[in-house]
Amino acid sequence: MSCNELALKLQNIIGEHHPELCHQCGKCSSGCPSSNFLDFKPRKIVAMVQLGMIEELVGSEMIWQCAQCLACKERCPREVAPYDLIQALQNLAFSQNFSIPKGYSVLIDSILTNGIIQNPTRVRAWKNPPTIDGKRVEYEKHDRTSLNLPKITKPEEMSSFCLALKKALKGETK
Amino acid sequence: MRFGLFPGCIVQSEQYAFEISARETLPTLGIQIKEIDGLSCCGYSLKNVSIPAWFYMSARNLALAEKNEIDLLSLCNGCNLSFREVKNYLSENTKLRERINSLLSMEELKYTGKAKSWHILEVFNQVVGVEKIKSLVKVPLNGLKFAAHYGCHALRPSQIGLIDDPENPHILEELIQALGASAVDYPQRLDCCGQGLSMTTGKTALKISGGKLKAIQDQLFDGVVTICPFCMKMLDSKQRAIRVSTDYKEVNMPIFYYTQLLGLAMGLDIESIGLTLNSSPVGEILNKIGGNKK
Repeated sequence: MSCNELALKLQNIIGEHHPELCHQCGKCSSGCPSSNFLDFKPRKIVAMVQLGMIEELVGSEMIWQCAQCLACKERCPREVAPYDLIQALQNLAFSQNFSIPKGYSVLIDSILTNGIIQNPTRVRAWKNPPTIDGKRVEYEKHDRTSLNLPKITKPEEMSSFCLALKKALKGETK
Repeated sequence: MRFGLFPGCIVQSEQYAFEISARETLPTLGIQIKEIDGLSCCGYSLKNVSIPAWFYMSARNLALAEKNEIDLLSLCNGCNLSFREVKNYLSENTKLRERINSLLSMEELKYTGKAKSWHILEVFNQVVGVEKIKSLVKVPLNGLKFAAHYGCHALRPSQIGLIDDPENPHILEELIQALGASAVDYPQRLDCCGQGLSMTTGKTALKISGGKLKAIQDQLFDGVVTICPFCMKMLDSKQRAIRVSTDYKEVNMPIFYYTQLLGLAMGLDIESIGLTLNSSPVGEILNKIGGNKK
């Protein structure tokens, strides 16, 4: 796919957002939790979009290093909403079969099987709530039933739910 | 007032303490809970890969609420945000609503926008009221100082009208103070817990949580109070991992769901509010209020 086609697809996802309005004030990146630890700066991503470096971005690990805290979206004085742009790039990476974090396929599989991202697990219940001295405390394993929690609900007709979700995942909402 | 409970994936699959303490405390405050059949994930986890899938999943749960003629009470910040954002998008865009409805019709569901999602802090603040909560306190948490941790998705993006001022919220502090404890501002109050990075760079997520916990501990708070299950997962159950794999070797901080702290102040038994499920040293607080009777 050509550079222009990718840019056009990105534009379709981001809709009425305008990355071209960014004047690199840096407010997004100064409040970004990822930028303190990783090679990740929201404003760099916006600048790369402005420069048409779409393919570099959708193929990079960088776009998956966003903590999704939404501080950039909240604080952007130009309403560029860097988070929305990053999300659009991530969507583009998924739809164009670029490499994406493996965890997403696990999530999708679980939702298609169970309706939720993971089935109820067994957890530790301490005999006595822990204290800071770090003394080992005995525990028992519990699940929803032993904790007297009601059964979880899931879609009644899984096949219809899955069919609709698969269509939506392919972007077929027509 | 009655709500359809939407616990969300993470609460109903592992963060049981929130569901237990919410189910225990809400009825005492005059909030009735209705179970809704057929609910699924809110779709927030898919928004990064497919915005249409996210819209479909959120609209689906809202359509189920609509069918039951009830609003949702979402226990998770992410679910509540998801419903609020999607509702916003669908109300602005008729074409999009039609497309989502054609998917929903496969399960004979229809989204018209009648049902909405309430955040649990909104329910406490607007429906129950701080005065009512004060009146139910039997064991005042006097002398204890808590750090309120809202979680990013309770407050941002404010453009869609969330629960409080995004840069200077106060609801959670007021609710903590209603229990007799103090809740003061601290510089890291609105900082992210890092959970959003867990899937791609778990160690960075731990560093972010560790840094926040260390700062809170240095400011001599007795504990942290949150209402977000994903933040709770990071702050409560990852402290050991933080000590092992980051520079924050001394992190050791009691972390509570607000509903648990409320239950303690109401004099409820620690098991009925799921307090035996927290991994952080919540026993310290029980010792301080004389409640560690087990």
